[in-house]
Amino acid sequence: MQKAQDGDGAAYRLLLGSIMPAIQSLVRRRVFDEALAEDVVQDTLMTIHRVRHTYDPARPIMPWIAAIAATRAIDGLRRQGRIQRRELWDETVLAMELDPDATHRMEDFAVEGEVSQLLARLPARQRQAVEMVKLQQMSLDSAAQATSQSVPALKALLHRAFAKLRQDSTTQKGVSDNG
Amino acid sequence: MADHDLLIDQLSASLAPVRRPQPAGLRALGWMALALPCGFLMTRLIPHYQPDWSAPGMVWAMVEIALALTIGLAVMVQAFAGSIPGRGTSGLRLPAVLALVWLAISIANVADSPPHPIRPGAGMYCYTFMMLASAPIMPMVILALRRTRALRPGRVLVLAGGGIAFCVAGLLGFCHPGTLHPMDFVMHLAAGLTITGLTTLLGRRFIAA
Repeated sequence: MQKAQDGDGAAYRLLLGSIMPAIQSLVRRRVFDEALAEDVVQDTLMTIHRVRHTYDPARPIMPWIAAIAATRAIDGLRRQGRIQRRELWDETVLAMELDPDATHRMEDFAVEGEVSQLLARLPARQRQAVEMVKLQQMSLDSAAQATSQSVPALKALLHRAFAKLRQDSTTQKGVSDNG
Repeated sequence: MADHDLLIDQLSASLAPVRRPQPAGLRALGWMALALPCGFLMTRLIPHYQPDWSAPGMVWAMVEIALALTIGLAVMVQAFAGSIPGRGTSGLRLPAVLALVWLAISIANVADSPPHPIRPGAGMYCYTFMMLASAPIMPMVILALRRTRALRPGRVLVLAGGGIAFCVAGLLGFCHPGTLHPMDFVMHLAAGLTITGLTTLLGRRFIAA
């Protein structure tokens, strides 16, 4: 270290390389997060470099290094604690920050999913009738024309479809109430 | 590990020779020799009280001055030593004992003083004197501590601020009556706390390692 204080770069490189395992061990005694420990080790090296003139060659080097490593480890833990206290991990808020309409879209997706689930329970012809008249908002005449059937027949299909959907929802409610 | 090797290479490449600081005792003595006259000169801005050194109570006042300056020096030595990594501030027992003796003498002095009605602005001379004297001393000590920087700047600066406060209280003793009124004593303590707080606040960023 004395040579390093005099400006000998090779001696300094050798010193830092040889004390690196000691620094890592000192830091890992206090910091258990691997990424933070690596940051603290680098911070310790930078501090050693900044205050290298304060080392007294008449004294052992390890207490000097240990004090720097311990202080930097505590600083690192405090910094991490402050960041964790300030940061919130809320996916809804994050989505809102990125796209303010995101929540509306998510709600729309949810409703769409429920409707498709309900329609999946209907027979194919009834489902087609509901989709055309109620979802695509076609008139009864055009829907009847498109499906090659009479308007009364289409009305009957719709009536049966809604009756089945009502019956299904009543049954489901009864199950969930009993459960 | 590769990152550390890269950093070590960069640090080694930017290495320049450095000068080691003097021992803490020498640094504190040098600082006192420079800072106290500056502080005293600063107090010439306000009219000084000229004490009668032959008055009966002045022996205790002189003991107080000597104690305050000794405590100031001892605490400054600890502040300079504490700014070096791994040294700590283990030598604070002596200044702490001396501070207790100083406090006891001050309280006895207050108790011995003739009763005096508290008037508005009482103790303001003492407060102003101490603040004026510390005005040049505070930046000087921060600059002196910046030479070594400190891993725990708060702790070091509280010690330095306490050291300045005691030194300035010692200077005040040369321009203060031998008797100590309660309000004066309260203002001495208030000035000491203000100086300690200001030193800590002003120097924190400057001396952080």
